[in-house]
Amino acid sequence: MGSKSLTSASAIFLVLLFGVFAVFLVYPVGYVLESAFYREGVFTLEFFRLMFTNPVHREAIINSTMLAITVTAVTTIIALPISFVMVRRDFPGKSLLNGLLLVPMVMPPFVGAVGMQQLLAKFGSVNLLLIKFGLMSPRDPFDWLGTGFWAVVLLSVLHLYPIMYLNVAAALANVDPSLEEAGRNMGASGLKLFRSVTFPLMLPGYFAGAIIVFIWAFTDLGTPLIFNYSRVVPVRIFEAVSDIHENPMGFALVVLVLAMTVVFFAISKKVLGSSNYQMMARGHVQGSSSALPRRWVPLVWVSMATVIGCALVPHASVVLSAIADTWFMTILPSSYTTVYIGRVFTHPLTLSSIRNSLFLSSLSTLVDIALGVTIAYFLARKRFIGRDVLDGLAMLPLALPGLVLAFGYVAAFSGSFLDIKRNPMPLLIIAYAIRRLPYMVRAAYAGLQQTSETLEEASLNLGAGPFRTLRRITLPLVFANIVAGSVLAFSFAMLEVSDSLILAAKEEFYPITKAIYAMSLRVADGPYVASAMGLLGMVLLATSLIVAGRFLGKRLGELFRA
Amino acid sequence: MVSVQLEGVTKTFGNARAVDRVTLNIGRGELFFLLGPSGCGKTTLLRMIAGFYQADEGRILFDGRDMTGVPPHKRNTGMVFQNYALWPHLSVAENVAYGLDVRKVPVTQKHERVMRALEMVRMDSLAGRSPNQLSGGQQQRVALARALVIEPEAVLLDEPLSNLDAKLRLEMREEIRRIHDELGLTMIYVTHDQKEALSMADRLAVMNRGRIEQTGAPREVYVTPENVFVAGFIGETNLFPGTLLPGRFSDEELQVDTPHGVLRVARKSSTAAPGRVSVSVRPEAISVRGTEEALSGGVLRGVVQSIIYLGDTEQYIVRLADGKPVRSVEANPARPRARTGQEVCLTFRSEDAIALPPDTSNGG
Repeated sequence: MGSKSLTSASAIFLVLLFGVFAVFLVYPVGYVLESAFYREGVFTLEFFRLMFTNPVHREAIINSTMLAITVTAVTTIIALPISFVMVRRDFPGKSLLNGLLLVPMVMPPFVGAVGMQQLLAKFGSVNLLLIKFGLMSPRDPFDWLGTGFWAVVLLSVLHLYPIMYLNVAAALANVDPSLEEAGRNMGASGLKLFRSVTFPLMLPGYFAGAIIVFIWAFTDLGTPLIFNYSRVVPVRIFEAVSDIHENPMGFALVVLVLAMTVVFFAISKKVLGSSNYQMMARGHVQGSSSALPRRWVPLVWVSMATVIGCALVPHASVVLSAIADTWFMTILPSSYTTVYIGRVFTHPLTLSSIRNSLFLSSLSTLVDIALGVTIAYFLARKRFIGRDVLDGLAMLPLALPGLVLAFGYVAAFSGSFLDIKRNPMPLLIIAYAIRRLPYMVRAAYAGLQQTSETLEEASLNLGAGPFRTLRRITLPLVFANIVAGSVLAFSFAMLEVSDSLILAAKEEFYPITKAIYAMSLRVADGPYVASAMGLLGMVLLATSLIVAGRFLGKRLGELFRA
Repeated sequence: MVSVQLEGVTKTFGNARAVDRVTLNIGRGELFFLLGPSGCGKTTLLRMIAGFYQADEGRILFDGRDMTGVPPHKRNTGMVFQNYALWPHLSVAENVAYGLDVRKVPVTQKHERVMRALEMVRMDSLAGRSPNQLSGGQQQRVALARALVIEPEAVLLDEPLSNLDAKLRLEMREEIRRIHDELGLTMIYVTHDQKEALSMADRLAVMNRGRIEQTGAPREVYVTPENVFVAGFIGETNLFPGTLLPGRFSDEELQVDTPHGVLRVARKSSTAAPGRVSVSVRPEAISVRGTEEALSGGVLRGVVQSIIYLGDTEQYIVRLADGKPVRSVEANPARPRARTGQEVCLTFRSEDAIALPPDTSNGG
């Protein structure tokens, strides 16, 4: 007994929470599993055999795997040296660069892809620039987009290296400097020290980041769609949605993605679980960073600026496309206009999509606040059977690709009153909410952890009941965290890609992201209006991150780590 | 203001018995101390009185009213937390007013009572500040005012001074004692600092491993500890294991046979039965003498191993023939009594030596 035990009211809350997860997380995933393994009530592995023998599907699996491996490798190569310099060295302008490194995150890469088509087309800006300098023959321009593979890699890398950087930098910062000093004391240095001490110690953190990047790249739907690179698993799944009842191949592919995710996270649990280095040695050594020798400063600046510059090219291309009047056969647009930005607010499709997105995101954020704060409160303040299960369920959406969840929703709720063919709004709200719930839970949980329980006990002691204590003491103290979590939940819901593409079945229900996709397929002004919408989205997300950062300070980065 | 009775109170966490069959009677208006080493269960006991934990067995009564099942917010106790637990989003005055808001005290009366409570702890000039702008000592005072303002049935203090520096601690001791005497409150005060307890308490209970080892007034507990733990925890002591001889040496004295010779000890109510005992003698009761000026009575011989000069006192560590170190403290040391390496006699009055039940915990 004691203040940590459950009252009957909180027990009811808890049952409701588990109910929500059961219906909207466990059931859809279970439904997908069942459909993939059972055909007319009989267990079968037929679809999995087909998956690897059918050349189209086999190619898609190979392509997606190659894509994810390449993206993970390239982001590692970029993020590792940056992390070392940022964590271990001090130099002028470090905090400015640290902020700029994260800027590329403010746009979903598929929006960048819309703009990049203009740059990478046969007679796009890049080739025209090369032709101008005589580096390329105008009669034989290079096809950058090619199959689309490298274009997708490029966009994914430029979007994902900040995530990798955040994880690697955190892992590196957690390596107790005294352990390295011990290695140095034994005579190791340079590469030897890195290989034998530093790298093994930071491996769990690196692994966590690498898994996020790998799965993200493997399951990204928007970017391949825009570049018309259709022989990848996510696009196959997307196309399977339309004939979900006739062709069970979609289920098998979703199960493949799910299995891959589970295996990776199981491995990471093992890697992370078996290494309690941090617990073992928490020295009171502070600030292991040393000054960067002056002659190296320009080099560091130039290389970092190059990375950031490249990462911002898609953003720039979106901005240019949004305000370009005519942009044909020239490196930069020959004239500018605000017509397309205006059209965003007048075209019925875009206008209704903005309205839809605002409505959907607001509601899903409210759901997140209600669910997230309650879950965080239970996790931080109560002891009960099933605590670990609740924790796991709340964090599961981090690992569960949006693609899997959305596909599960379409399949599991078809024919019910939640069927997307009737009205996809309820499922869109729930999908957005579930997908962003981990951020909300983490933000609120962090706040509760930092708030000493004695502050609540002091209130109880002075005669305030549990609800008054919650209202007057607990909630005000974690308010900043709740605001930050809500801002993030809202803005990411506004720019959620795979859920929107799969679930929003009819044009009248399109959210912004699906409207951008639909627009980009139109000839004439389509890509320009799509870019203008992308620009608005970018501004929205950037503003949200700044607001959230104001409330959370340096802890903002923690939300994006594994 | 209430009296607080604990009847066989027990609390288990997992397999550990944090509080083990504690029975206590705390009178109205008493400043009562729970004293013990960390982990002895004293804070758990206090939190049970506040209602944050429920007893597994036994009852807690306020003025004879059974408190079992009464939630913390209905007990009307005023608790001062070790980390003060001031709400950072409320000002000093708002922190203090909180308990009155809950009790729906009218605004004018509320303001007056808040100011009176703050005056009581000399914090009235900082009423508008945020807790983050206060020093540790000031936060301590606000926490005290917040607990006092609701006119609680009992004030519970959980190591309230442990986060303050030594000088401030002395000041706050007097301050809390003064407030207690002015308001005549029932106060239950948890600490591991024996000086705090000895200097402030009306009565105190020494706790160890979840149990009460001894209860009594400070002087009583210090002079006549009932067992080796209490003797060692409150103040320092020298222990000489031996056998209590039957019969008595005189009306006030008994004899204990030890490896260092037969020692005469006081005959007191707490004295152990004949058989194995430990003789306890406080360092300040032992005098160091040159071998030539040795008197009769309890006499031990040894060689001075080290001398520590502390200004107001001087400590001698003397090694007996079998290697056992004995500590002696000389107050107001005008000149050294002996040199390191010198052979000396140690003397003490038999009334300063008591025979305790043998230490069963670690044989020392």
